[in-house]
Amino acid sequence: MSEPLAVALLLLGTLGWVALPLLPAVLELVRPTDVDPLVMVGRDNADISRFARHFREYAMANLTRLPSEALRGDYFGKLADGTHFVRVARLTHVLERGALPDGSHDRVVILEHPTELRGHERFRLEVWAKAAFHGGPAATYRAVLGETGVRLGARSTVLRWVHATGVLDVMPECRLFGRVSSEREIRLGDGVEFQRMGAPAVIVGQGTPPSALPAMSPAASYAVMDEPERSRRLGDHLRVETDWYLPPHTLVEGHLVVAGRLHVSPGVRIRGSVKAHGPLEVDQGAIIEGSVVSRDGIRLGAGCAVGGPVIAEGTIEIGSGTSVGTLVTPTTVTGRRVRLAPGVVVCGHIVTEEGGVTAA
Amino acid sequence: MTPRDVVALALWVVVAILVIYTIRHYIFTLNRVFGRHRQPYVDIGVADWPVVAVFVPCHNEERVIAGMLEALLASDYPAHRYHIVPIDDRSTDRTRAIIEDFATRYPGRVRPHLRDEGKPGKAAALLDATSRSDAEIFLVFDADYLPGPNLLRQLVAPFLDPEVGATMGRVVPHNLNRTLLTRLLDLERSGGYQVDQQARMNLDLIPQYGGTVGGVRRTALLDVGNWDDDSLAEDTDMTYRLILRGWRVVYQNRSECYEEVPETWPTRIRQIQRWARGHNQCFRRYGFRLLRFPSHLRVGQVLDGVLLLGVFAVAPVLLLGWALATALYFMGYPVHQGIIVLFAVASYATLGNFAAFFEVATAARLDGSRNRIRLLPFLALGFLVNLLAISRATLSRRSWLKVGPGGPRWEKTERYRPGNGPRNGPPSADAGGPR
Repeated sequence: MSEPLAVALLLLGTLGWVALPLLPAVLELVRPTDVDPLVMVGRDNADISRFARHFREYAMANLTRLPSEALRGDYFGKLADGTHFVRVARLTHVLERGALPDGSHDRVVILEHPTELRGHERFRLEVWAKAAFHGGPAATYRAVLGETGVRLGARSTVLRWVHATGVLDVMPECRLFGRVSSEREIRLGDGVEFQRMGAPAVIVGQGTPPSALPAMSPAASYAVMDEPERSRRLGDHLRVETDWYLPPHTLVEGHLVVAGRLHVSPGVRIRGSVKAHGPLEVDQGAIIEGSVVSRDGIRLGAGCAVGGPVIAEGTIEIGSGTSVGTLVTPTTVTGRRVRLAPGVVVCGHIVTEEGGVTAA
Repeated sequence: MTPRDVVALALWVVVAILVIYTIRHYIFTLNRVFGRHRQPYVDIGVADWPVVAVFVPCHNEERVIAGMLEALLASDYPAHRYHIVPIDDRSTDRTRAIIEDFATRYPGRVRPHLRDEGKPGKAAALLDATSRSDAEIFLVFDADYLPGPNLLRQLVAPFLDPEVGATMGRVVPHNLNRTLLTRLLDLERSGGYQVDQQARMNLDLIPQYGGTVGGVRRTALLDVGNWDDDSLAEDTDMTYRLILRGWRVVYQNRSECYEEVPETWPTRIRQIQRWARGHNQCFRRYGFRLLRFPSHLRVGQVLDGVLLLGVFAVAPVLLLGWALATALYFMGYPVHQGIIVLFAVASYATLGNFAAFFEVATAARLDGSRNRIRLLPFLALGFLVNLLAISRATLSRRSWLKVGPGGPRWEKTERYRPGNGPRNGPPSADAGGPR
């Protein structure tokens, strides 16, 4: 082999070797396969009843394309997209006819009239109850859409979502994965596990949703807050650089930010929002008109009232008889974990990262 | 000390700076792979929403302004709680006529602010509009952006925390199928937001208010002295004034907004040089103030803040390093053959040089992108162009000296959209599956 040829081959070989990792890049450039803009997360998690709405639209669009006999009486058939469904017009034992050998149901169930189930059913696809629906104990649902009231029996499980146009009554020890919503009210028994909920009023056990925060006592009944030494005004809030303690019956005008822990004593009223970088504890009967925020956890004692959102990066514990938000100004409770005592009323949304529970 | 020793010492300083930035890249990347995703405000869906003014500063934006205003009018934010303020600053095209047409059709909801005098430039326009608004929150968008219906709510939610002074959403290019450059910019943006900004948020460092899809609280703005109309980068300037005073800046990765990225290299070069000059101006203004370690900031926040300020100054430092290494070679500098040196050089060659690439690849992976990651090697091309463009801007007088009389002027990025509305139809806010 001549020297020039050897050099040329070496050069070519080297260039080829260098170009090899570029081959996928060149192919993607010449024949693009992934050039669509990223899909925006337009449907954020804040829209709690979105899945239910979409299911209703989907089911209605598919049902209207069916022959007229499918819309009269009991009927087993397929939706226009091929999904199996059963329309139960008269008797729920029709359901048993369509059940699989293991007793579960693998079709969309459309209940036309008020229905009460015995319990222990397993629905692998959605249940659409057009009238009042009372589930029995220990049933498992993929999803439930109720056009009026819905009651889930004790120890039932919902895997994806449940939405009621009327009151949603959840019996004790249910497990609610995904989204839980009502256009009127959600009532929760003891030991209910949940992830995200939204309704004009979410009530644990017994309680009445407030339409306004408790009125302020006469100013003379409050103590004026002493500004701590290591604090300064920033815009509309007071920033405290240390741990801080608000004595009983103190009145705080404006917003408060504490760089450490914050303890709010009984009877305190904060006429703004409050934030702590450390744990934030609010004792019995305190009233906070704005937000309650913590980089750590929040514990709201019994009988407190909060007007704005409760936001924590740790656990939120809400004590018995405490209300968050009002019917007029609903708000959000959002934290890593949430624990609600009996008598808690939240007007708006409760969103957890790792789950929440109702417990005494 | 011989001249050769001086050159060697300078090279070691350069190497140290580069290694620090490499480590920073890896900390951010590994945080996004293994760390906890922090987004405390993103799930706030209902609240007593504050009154918001949405500012859209414009200078010759006839190609894009109508699409922007339509997108804002379709927002799900309570209509009685927000209004849109297109700020037209001496446009010579049809921008003003389009804005006035919207104001006529949507009285009260679109409230134009028209400028024909005063200082030109975005910061001056914002300063002017702020003084005429009584809203509690000011959101600011560039005119070529296309916000989704829930974006205003998402960007306002963090302000329910009384400590938050500014919020920033994520920028997503929608014209990426145009040229190689747009595809590379798509990858760059991914790395910058999905990894860099979100890691800063996760680690409680200093996410940057970017001025194009974000907002500022009125009381915070006034507390730090309002917009600075002498600033070349009013967004970075605002970030540091807020942080130094004790406010927080929040980045929300899920608050995404489409933008139009430059389609030609000259436009891109002008854009990045403008950013570099503005950033370096902030370095000069706030670098030493940060290094006094204000008591309300943690050491990590100070270091992150300084490194962020210096990010555009690294380009000429790298060029200097190449020059120093070449000079040392010809000066006959003895290369130590010790195993540790060899290992360090090999490590840097395999890991250090590619730190930014790992960051982009991680971002593409987190975004669920399938094949765009294959273009990664071409980023080296973009890197070289950026290196030279940024170095030139960094070494320019405007980067480091005070702004001359008349202040900054409008330095606009060219728009490519042919008509009013998005070209190539970016996916609607309700399209596609969850990521």
